[in-house]
Amino acid sequence: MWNLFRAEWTKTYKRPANIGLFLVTLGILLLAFVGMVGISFYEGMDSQFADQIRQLTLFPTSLQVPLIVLSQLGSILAIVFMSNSIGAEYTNDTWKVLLPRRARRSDFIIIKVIICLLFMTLLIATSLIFAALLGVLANLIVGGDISNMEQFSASGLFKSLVPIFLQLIVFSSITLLVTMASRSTIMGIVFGIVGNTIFNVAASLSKLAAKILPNLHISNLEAHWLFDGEEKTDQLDLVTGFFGTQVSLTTSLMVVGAYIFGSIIIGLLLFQRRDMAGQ
Amino acid sequence: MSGIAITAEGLTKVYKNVPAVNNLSLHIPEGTIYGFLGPNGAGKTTTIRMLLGLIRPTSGKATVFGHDILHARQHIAPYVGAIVESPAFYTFMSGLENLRLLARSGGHDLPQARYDELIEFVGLRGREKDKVKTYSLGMKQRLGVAATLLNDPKLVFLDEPTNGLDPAGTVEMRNLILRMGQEGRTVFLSSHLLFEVEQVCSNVAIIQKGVTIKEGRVRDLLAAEGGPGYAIEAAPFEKAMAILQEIPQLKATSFDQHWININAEPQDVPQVMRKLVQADVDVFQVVVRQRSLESLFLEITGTGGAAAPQPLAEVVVGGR
Repeated sequence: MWNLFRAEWTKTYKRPANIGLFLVTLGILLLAFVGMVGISFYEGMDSQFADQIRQLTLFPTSLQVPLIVLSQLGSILAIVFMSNSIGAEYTNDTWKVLLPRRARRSDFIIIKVIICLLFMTLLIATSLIFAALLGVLANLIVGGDISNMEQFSASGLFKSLVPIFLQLIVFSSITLLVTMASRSTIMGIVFGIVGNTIFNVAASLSKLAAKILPNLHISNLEAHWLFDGEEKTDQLDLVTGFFGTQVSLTTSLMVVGAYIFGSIIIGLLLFQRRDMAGQ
Repeated sequence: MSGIAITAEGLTKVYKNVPAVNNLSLHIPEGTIYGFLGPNGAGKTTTIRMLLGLIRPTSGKATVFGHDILHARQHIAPYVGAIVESPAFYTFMSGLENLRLLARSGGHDLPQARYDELIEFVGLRGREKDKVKTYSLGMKQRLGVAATLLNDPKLVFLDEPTNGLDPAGTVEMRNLILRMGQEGRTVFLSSHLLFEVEQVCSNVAIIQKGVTIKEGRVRDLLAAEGGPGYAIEAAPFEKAMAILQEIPQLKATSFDQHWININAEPQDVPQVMRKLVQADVDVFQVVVRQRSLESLFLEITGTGGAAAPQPLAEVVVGGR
């Protein structure tokens, strides 16, 4: 499995689409910081806006920028990555050169799931580091302090990352299944993105949909895990409003787990039995 | 070399009630270069995909080196290499990177010397670090051959390896196949190019509509289906034809109103000539006509049609 992992990783970092995902994410961060610095100059260094930018670009506050970007884009990036990782093998008909080399087909999919998580972790880590560096640079330009380490909390950062990871794991798993079933990168991406939106809308409109779809269960898990005291109560009330009844942590855990493992297992079973008759 | 590389009994694949492969039987000895022939849509690629575990048979049984293709892939995968249809690679990576990736995908971490050896073997030295998207089709085919040999397989499947190659590329591929055979590998060669198959293969199977219609040693098949005959150039043509057709065992035929093909034993030829001369027929040439795999193929698959002309240059291999 180690050699298969190395092979898949080589493919991953060399694939132009993945380099594109990386560059787009970092590019958005760069644009955000350039925009903030540019507007500070435009408004004047003594302006209230410039003061706000100095606060926002101060480490660790500067990490909020990539966290906001990733909370919006993280699941889409994972969907595109996963769909491309599996769909490209169908599109280029490369399964036929890979599969006869191993006895177990499932090895390829398990490694692809692991690589997806690794890639997304690296993307998130790189985004955070890049944003921190950009913050330092921005503060040097607009003339503020570089960091305020007293504000930094590793557990706080971890708590902010949990919902991002949960979202991307759930939707990359569903994308894996759809791509496997449709044998198409495009179908995987479209279903992943559209499905995410439809799930959100459906869960907000119907209590039944809220209970069976993963989105609000992820919110329920976040409310249980990430918040304390009054904030936790507020979050749980909000989620309970959508469900129409209180849903336990265990139930949400089971629903989210079912989507993740269910999608992967059904995908694996499909892949094991499916004919690779070429394009 | 005495073992059996591939067996198939009643191998069948049905797509939406249409059989792509129907009750196919194969028996391929180890160490042979085995030609797998058939017209388009005969089921050649489907058969190869089944033997490689890419497609599940609808029914029937097949083994590779005695191991069931469905349930014992762990005993098959290490000993098999394959090119299925067109070569498929990761075009954003170099030839060398593709080879390394494919070896690792199979669980092998080969030393650089092995890659160098294979690159040398297929004649890609100097281009191995270029991206595959810059390769010609011939180079991709050769890289495909290198990829099949990564795990030093005992059995190599080559599905139309000369497709799209120019004449020089075709000759190179033929030499590569012969070298694989000389190294003791079993080569399962599916090809449309019957002349190529005849040049390199010791055994062939001809399939049509998914059914094996002939299987055996090339030499035996050609001998059994008529063996050598003679082509006669004589005038007047109609008179010569009429005389020869009076002797049914000669099976005199003509495709071009010029040459007459007959089947005859060498000792009978003088008597046939004498008969023509005594009837005032002028005989200009008598040449040996060797039966080709192509003519055999066209005849038994019916793809050439009964009236399909056979170019004389292909059938005449020597004169007397």
